[in-house]
Amino acid sequence: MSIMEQVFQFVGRLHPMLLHAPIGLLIGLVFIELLSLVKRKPLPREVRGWLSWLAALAAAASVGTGLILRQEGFGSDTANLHQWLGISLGSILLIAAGVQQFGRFVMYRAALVVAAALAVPVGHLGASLTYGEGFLTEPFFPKEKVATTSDLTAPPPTTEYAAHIAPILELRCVGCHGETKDKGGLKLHTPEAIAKGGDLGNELVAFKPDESEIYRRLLLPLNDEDHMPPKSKPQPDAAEIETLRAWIAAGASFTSPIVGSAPAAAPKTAANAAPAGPKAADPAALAALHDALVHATPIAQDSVLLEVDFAAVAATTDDERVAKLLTPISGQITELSLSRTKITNSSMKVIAGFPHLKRLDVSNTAIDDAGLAALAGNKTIEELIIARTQVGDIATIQTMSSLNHLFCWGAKLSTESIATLKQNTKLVVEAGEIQPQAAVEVEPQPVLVAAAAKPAPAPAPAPAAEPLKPINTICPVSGKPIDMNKLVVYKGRVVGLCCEHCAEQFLAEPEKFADKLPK
Amino acid sequence: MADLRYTTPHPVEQHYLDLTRRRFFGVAGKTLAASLGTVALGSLLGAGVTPASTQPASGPLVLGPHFPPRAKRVIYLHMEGAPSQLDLYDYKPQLRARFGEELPDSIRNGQRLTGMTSGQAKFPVAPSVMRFSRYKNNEDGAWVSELLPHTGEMSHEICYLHSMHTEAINHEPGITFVQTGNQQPGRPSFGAWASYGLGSMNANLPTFVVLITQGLGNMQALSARFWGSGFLPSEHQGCKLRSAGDPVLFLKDPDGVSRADRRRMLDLVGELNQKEMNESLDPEVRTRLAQYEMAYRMQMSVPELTDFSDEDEETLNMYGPEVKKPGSFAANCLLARRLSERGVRFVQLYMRGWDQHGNLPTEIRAQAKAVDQPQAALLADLKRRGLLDETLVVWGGEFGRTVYSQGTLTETNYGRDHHPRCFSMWAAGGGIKPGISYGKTDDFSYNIVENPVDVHDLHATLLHCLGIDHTRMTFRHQGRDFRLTDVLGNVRKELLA
Repeated sequence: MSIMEQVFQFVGRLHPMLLHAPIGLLIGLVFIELLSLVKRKPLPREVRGWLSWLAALAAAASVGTGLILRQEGFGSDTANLHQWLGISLGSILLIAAGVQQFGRFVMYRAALVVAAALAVPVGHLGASLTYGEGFLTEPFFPKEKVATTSDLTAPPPTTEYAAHIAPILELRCVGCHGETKDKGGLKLHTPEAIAKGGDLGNELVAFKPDESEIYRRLLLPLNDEDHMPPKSKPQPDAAEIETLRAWIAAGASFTSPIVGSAPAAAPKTAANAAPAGPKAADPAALAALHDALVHATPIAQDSVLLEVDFAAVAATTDDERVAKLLTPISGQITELSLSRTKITNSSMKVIAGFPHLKRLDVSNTAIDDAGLAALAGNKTIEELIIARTQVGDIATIQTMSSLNHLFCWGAKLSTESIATLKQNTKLVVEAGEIQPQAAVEVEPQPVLVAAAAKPAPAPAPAPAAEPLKPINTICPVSGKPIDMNKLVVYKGRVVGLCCEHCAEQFLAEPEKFADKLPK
Repeated sequence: MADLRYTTPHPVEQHYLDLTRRRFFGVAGKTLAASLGTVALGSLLGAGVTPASTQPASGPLVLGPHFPPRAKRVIYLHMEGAPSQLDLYDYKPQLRARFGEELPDSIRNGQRLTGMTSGQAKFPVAPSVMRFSRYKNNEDGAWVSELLPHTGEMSHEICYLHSMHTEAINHEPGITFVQTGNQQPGRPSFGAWASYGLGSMNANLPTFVVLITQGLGNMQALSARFWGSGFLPSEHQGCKLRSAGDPVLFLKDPDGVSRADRRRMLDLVGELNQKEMNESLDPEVRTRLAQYEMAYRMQMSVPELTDFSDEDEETLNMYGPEVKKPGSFAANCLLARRLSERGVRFVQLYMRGWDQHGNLPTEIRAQAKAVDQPQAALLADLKRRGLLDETLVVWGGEFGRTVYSQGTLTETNYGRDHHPRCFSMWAAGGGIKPGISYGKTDDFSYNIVENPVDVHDLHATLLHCLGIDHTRMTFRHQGRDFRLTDVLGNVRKELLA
């Protein structure tokens, strides 16, 4: 943050202090007017003049600092309303000061009444922003408590909803969809409210997370208008999203027992259930990759999975660098290229532990069978590129259950091994054989046929001396007499037609009209 | 800047937020901002726009793909001059029966011609003298002319587009349109957009590289703005590698300057530039700073890149006899593969000299021979290295050529004028459906009769392969958001694998 920015932020934060000045002055002004009404004696004009201008100035300062403070991220409707009412209040105080200057005291008093009336909601909304919604009324309406894991006095939750879902909703959603607010008619603070749903009706569709808006909207791109929670709010992490998905997919029940905490669930579901998604990579680890000129970026916006490519520094990349840079982000790598690097078999042991790796390129390296053996039984890699490596044995490859693309050109695999691999219909094997795909059909030497005439040997396509003689006199398409300038060649015979249109029709489907021709 | 995921607004987003903020203060907070001035305000709010940890060393504002991409790189083979679709890909055997016939008015339909042939008294139909062959693909085969036998053999990897059309009828606006999405100069080129949207994968090489091959026939000027960055920050412009002498000019240290001296010089200049940038926040200073560093690293990476000595004999032979001649199309294709292999996002090859207004059969033979084997080898070589499935290869000119002969038509000789109404291109690799033909022209290869694809559609589809939603990759300039496809373009899902 630059010094100017710091000063700016500081000025903005003066707002909560400055705002009291116009309120105080406004109360004073109203009081003075009331006094003069009661005493039936106008006050010295100068006092009123100075004070009303001071109030206007103070209001302007409050509005200005308030607008700056807003940049710190007050994005709610409350803040919006507070802003506009505040600006209105400031404007009215300015008008009041102006009209009294011109001696229009009735208008001045009217403006003061409006300002005083406005000051109440403006102040209240501002206080709500500072102290939270319902701060004022809380002594009379204490908040209903939602069962949370942090509630030590309550018995530990037994349902999946209470243990895992409610805390997420409370943390991420209830601020806008709960007791005090129900944006989109939706409240998510109690099971009953969730079951009731909101304006859309399909907020929650049991067993169908993809059709449930409360899940679908989490997945929308951050910039999408419908994305939830709104861009400015803290976002749920991948594990929370997955927990929510799993709950909806399992029927969105409020009574079913706990599925298990994430670590406990892992062994149970490891076989097929979708594992909890990876967390975002450690920024420090990514910074280290950038500093080392290694390309490492999310595969897409809003994804935590990374593609990593050592192309820029291949010539100087060894096992040590690979292990050092990749170990901290092992949980996020989904595509990795180590092509042309100086790695040896020992790097393969590091790579074998990457849980989300789908594409691995180790072409043009010294990797051999012993190195590849580290990947035996791998269940995630779908595309493996071992072109121009020392790999000569297919045993490991055959144990990789997700593999569907293998690039092995220039490796040491024998023709028989490649043939064996190709028997697996699930696997596309690209061994780089040049298969000359000779043309399946070659057209005969083209013969140019002039429709009207063969050109004379002269270079110009001059009209021929002797017109061709068509086999027919009646157009096979229209039945009209033929035009001698509309001749085409069909099966070696010259056919005459009556017009361009018929000629096109004939050429498009000659068979259709063939039997109308003389034999 | 704490969490990379991205809870902090994306740098580009942040940049726009700041702009909005700046605008807000420019209007609503005028009294307040007057003393500071909007520029100063911009600089104080803009500082820290780019969190160091989320940006590569060069620090451009990079968007990243909107969704996981099918292709990460592009090799775009631009055939400058507009090759004749009739003599290469658009097989019209029935035309042979119409040799010399006047082009029917029902076909031409009063459409405009260039000034080069609009005065011709006759428009005699000139069927191709080339023999076509049908090659196996994933449909019922693709007909390709005898000029491109090697390319024909790769038809099972290629998606032929027979129904391209464009607005431009002359080379300069034509190339500008197909490269930048607009006929008027001034927009960023496709490669620059790709660099802006996806960023670099190799900090030691430019993100967008341009290679040029001199053709054999009539050549049109190639302006550097075809690979310019337009209003995008200039680090996104294409870097042209020269074919003779040093590939990049002024890259070598001058005599008597050691690499250590150069480093010290750069450090000092960098310090000064950094100061300037802190004061002005001019993005061009950042670009300059990044380019100096890039050039320093390119002193090492470029010689390694252009040295073919680590290629084996078999690979060199694949690209054909011209591969050892620097600047030839064969050498540039091999170089393109090496660039892609090293993570260069966008390689733009230009093959000049397809503008055959006269003497077409002879000229196109030589021209096609120069590209056929190398471009087929490029596909095969990418394929066996596991690169083709994430590299998009695009082939095409700026428009097509007319079915009628420009100048005298004989049985062995003819010329063809510019024809924007239809032309053929092809694409292969990352995300494109292999082994298909798309779109049809009429019997005269004059108008499109099925599935027309315009330049914006092509751009939208190629960007889609790169993981980019063409409607969402924008840059604000002169008060509005610009896109490569402007307000047009549809992704052609039929072309996607």
